[in-house]
Amino acid sequence: MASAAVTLMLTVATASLAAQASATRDTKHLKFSVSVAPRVVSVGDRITLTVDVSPKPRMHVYAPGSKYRPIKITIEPQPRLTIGETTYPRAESYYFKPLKETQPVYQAPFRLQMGLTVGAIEPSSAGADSTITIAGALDYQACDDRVCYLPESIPLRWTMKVTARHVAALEGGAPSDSSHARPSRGDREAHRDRSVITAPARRDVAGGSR
Amino acid sequence: MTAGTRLLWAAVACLLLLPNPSAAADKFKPFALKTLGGTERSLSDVLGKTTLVVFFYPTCPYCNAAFPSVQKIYDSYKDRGLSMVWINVITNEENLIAPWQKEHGYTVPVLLGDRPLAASYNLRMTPTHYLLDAKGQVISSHAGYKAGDEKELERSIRKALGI
Repeated sequence: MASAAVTLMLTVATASLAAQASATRDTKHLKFSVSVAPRVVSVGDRITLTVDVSPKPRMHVYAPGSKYRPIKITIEPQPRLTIGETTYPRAESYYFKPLKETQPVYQAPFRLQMGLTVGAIEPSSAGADSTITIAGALDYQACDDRVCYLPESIPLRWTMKVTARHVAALEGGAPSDSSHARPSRGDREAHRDRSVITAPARRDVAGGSR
Repeated sequence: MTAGTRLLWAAVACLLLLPNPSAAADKFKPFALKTLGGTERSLSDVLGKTTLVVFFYPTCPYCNAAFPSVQKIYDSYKDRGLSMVWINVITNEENLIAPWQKEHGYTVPVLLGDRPLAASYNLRMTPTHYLLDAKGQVISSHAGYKAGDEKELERSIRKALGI
C-alpha cells in the first residue's frame, strides 16, 4: 500500500553552551563544573557528562578503592535513560598518619566522566516536542589535615529539549517499523539537521533551578 | 517627656527584659534520640557529673583516629561520674555501627541522629565534641582531631570531675 509513513527523528538538544561551559559550583571544600557533550544528539547516541573538580587547598576527597566514601556521580534512574559507568583518573596515595594507613585520594584538579544514553520517547507523545530532565548528584566526603567534613551530596540537574519532526515518506512507501527501513530521504534530511539546535533548552547545575 | 523619648525608654526596657543570648548559648541544646535498640534517650537521661557528647559517623577517618583514645577515657572515668554518648549523624551508616563497635571494642553508648540534627547544632565537621557539666551547660567544645588532643580532653574531663 502506497502510503505516507511517518518517520520520527528525535533530536536531543542540550542547552546553550556558553552557559554550560561556565556552570561552576563552589562549595566549602571544592569547586566543580559540569558540562554535557555533544550538544546535539539523536536518540541512542551517547552523551558524556563531564565533571571537573578542583579540591580547595589542603582538602582531599576519596577515590574508588578507598575504605571511606569515594567521590561519585549519581544519576536518578528513569526509563528513557541508560546510565553508564563513571571513569576516574588515577588517584594519589595519601598517608593518613593518625591511622597509619594509605588511601587513594584526589587533592589536585581532576575530571570524572559518565556516559548516558537517552532512549526513545513514549509513543503516546511521539510527534510532540518534549524535554527530558536528568537529575543526579555529586557525592563526596572531604577531609583536610585535621577534620572530615560531613559527606556532601550536591544536586545536579539539567533539562534537554527533545524535538520530534514528521518526515515525508519516500515514494513507494516504507515499512511501518521505520527502524528496519533503509534511510529515507526524510531521514537523511533529518540527520543533516542534527547539528542544529532547534530550540533553546535549559540546564541547571547544582540545584540552580530550585 | 516627649512621645519620642517615651518610645525610646520603652524600647530600652524591652531590651533589658529579653533573655541574655550568650547565657542561652552555653546551654547544650536538648535532644531525644533512639539507641540502636530503639530506646529513646534524652539529654537529661545521659547527663552525668560530666558528660561528653561526640558527633560522628562510622566512616569518618578522624573519628576512627580519635575514638580508641576516647573509649579509653570513658573506661577510665565512667565510674567516677563521666557519662559519654556518641551521636551518629549520617543515617545511611546506621547499619555500619554495630559491626564497627564490635570490630573496635567500643562500648560508649551510641545514639542515632541525622543531617537535620547536625544542622540544628551547626555541625559541619566530625568528630565534634561538647563537654557538659551536670546541668547540661557547655564547659568546652572541640572539632577535629590531631595527635595529642586526647590528652587535652582528658585534662578537661579530670578538671570537670574534680579529680
